[in-house]
Amino acid sequence: MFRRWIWVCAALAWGGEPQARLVWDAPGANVLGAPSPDGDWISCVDPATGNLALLETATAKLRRLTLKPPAAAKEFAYFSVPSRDGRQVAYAWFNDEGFYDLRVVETRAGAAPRVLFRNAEAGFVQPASWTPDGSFILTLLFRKDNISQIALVNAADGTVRVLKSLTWVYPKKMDISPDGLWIAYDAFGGDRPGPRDIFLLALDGSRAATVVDHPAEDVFPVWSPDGKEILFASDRAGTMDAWAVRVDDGRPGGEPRLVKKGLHQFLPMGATRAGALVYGARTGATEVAIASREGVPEVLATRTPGRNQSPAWSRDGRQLAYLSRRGAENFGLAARVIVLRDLETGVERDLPARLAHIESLRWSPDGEWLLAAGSDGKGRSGLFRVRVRDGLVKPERVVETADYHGVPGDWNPDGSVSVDTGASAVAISRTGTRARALPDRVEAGDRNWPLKNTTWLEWAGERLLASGGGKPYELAPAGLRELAWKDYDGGPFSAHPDGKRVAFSVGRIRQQVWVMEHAFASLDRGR
Amino acid sequence: MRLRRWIAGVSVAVALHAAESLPVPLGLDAYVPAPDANPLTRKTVELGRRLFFWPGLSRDGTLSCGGCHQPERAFTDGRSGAVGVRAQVNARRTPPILNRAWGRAFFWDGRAPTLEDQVLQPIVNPKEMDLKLEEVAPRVRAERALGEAMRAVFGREAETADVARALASYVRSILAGDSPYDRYVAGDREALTEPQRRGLHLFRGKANCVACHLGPNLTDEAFHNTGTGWKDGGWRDRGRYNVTHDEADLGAFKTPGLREVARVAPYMHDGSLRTLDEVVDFYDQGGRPNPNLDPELRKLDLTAEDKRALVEFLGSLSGKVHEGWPGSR
Repeated sequence: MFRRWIWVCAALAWGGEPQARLVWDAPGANVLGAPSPDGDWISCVDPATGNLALLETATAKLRRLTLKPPAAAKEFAYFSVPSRDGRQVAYAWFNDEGFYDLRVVETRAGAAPRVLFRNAEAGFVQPASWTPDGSFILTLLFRKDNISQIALVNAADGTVRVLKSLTWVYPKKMDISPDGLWIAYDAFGGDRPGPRDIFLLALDGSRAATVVDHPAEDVFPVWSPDGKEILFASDRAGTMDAWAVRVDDGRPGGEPRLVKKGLHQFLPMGATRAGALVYGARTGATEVAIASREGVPEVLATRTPGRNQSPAWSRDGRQLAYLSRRGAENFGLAARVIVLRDLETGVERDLPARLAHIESLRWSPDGEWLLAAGSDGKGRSGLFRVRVRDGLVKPERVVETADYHGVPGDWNPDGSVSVDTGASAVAISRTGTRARALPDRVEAGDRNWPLKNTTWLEWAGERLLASGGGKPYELAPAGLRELAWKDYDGGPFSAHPDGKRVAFSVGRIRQQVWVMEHAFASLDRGR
Repeated sequence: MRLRRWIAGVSVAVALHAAESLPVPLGLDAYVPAPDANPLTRKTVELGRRLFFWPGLSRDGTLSCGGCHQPERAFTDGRSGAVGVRAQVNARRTPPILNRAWGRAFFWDGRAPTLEDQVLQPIVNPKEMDLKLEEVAPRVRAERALGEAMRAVFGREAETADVARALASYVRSILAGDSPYDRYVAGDREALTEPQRRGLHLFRGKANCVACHLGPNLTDEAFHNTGTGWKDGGWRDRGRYNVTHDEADLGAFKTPGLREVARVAPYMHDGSLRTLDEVVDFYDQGGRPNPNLDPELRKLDLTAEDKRALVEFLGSLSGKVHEGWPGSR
């Protein structure tokens, strides 16, 4: 309490932008939770175990709220939000059937969780906010038919009332106003994907309104504790900054005001009762680099440095395709643009492929297509062909059970595509030798290697390379050999046709949690 | 603290009960969209209902909106071409109007951007109800009971725009849901039979139906060329192109919702397919080849069992159809 008072006094004395302090910067720090009303803790996922935990903001110590039994190794907690009295936390739990259910647990030590909602047809749930009386949990449902829904889940019996259905591109954040009348959420401004705006929806479904309508990207709305303002992230001034707009009875009360500039890739997580904003931030960068198989990588000088990854060499070795994350918002399914780079001239161009998420690329033998693993604008996941000439997208294989990352696949020498949904990675050599990664090994022809957590395979001539557990290996006849790729990020990589050079991405993205005291002007005026 | 919680609880209760919302069946959103200029109310819906079934809105007084949009046929008429006054047969069939509150464009070619715009067009279309726009309001005013009802709801003598508001409100109240499919999606694993579950799996997977038919209303509200507008090497109906004059829209028609689809034969914009079996066969063949065929269409290689399962699943989309404001009559 004293610490918070000191921060408030300091901010008032300074009189300018509110100041922020870093509260969690450990490996595995995540931004999947929200603060308690008093700001003493933040719900989160324990990076070491996958359990739901509370992060004590004063000490950055974690206290686990759930205890996974050994048999539940694949289960884990995901998004969470505390109730307004701080006595319960609603959270998503990846369950033993392979989808997420909604659970609630009290914050007292030793409390047993209870499953509130479990439905494979709505297999992704994201609890977002509690009603003031604790009766309902505002929850995002993501259905098997690729739509997202804003829903109220009864906190007592788990019954669901769907308020509004949206496209598969779900709101980044939803929040219930302190008076319990309105839900603020972000969504596309029009029918088609584009910049998001901030909307209001009456809790009883009777009314809807637009509260922020601007060509910029406006996301992550959070209500002020007095319900007079909505704070949100916006890139309207060129960088991702914190903005706030007053709200009167569901209508904007004037133009948004700048709260704090230069927060870059940040995600408002929630507000405390005293008016502090808890938010997440991403730091670091990833870049595409080229190296000999053992050499020091040389980072490519790209047009848009900072968030480049997943390179793919053309079969003639003249071009490199890679993915570049664009836009100011970087959490969740941000747009990944395909960039084509002419390696002789260094000239780059964006390929306007209408895909929602791209995980990896592989170039076709004839050089006319890229094979993209990911998902499309209709929320279908699998493999897609992207025409190099103009970005035309054709579904190659849609897999109902796949998530947005898509499925493993590669080109056969004849230009057809092989898909292997039973493997975590596949690669087909120029001569047709097929390699696949299973949970405990990699197979190629009659050979196999004991490598776990393999996420990528690539043939360099007749040599097989792999990414296992985030590290690069050569799978030689004599056995596994770890490669010395400096700063390799563990993602998809590509071998030059000569087999001597590889392109991979280097660097790391980290997440942090910050607290910005005194973030809401409406509270200042009330003091 | 307890007082604050009590006040907050009361606020939620007041919020949940203060405004009267149109009840919706299982499977639909509680929020029913309506423009600010025409909020959905019990009075406008019930007034719209009277207008919808009133033949006085046609030139010869023989045809109401409900003459083609028949409630007992899930608001269609079973014909391959809509029939207007003087037995005129139109080239396109009567479109389904279930759950149109969530629509984003109206008619097969999407030429009406709002329901308020849409509802007047059949009235003034010479091949449908054939009334002149300037005749609409006087007709309503001349019908004493209707004229009084209009005054009671809108506080003035009937105007054409008010007729449109009332009709649009009624159309927004035509809701279909609470089907076995809805119960299944809500978590009742027994709501679908085994063939229906298999059909749903195909619908979302191999048959690629979800490329266009998705969401609570099983439509993407977009326009696609499946080949039905192309015949004998030429365009029989240019569809959406007639509205946008964009060649990418040649032969494209709006994806219809699939609610009650087993009850609304014949199918496609021109009623050219008589049964759901024929529809499944049509898509199994990849639609009808033409210069602008949607890239989503391709041969599906469905087995006979696949096709039966798909038709079975489509049958599970029939549930309850609500119209009007419950408890008003």
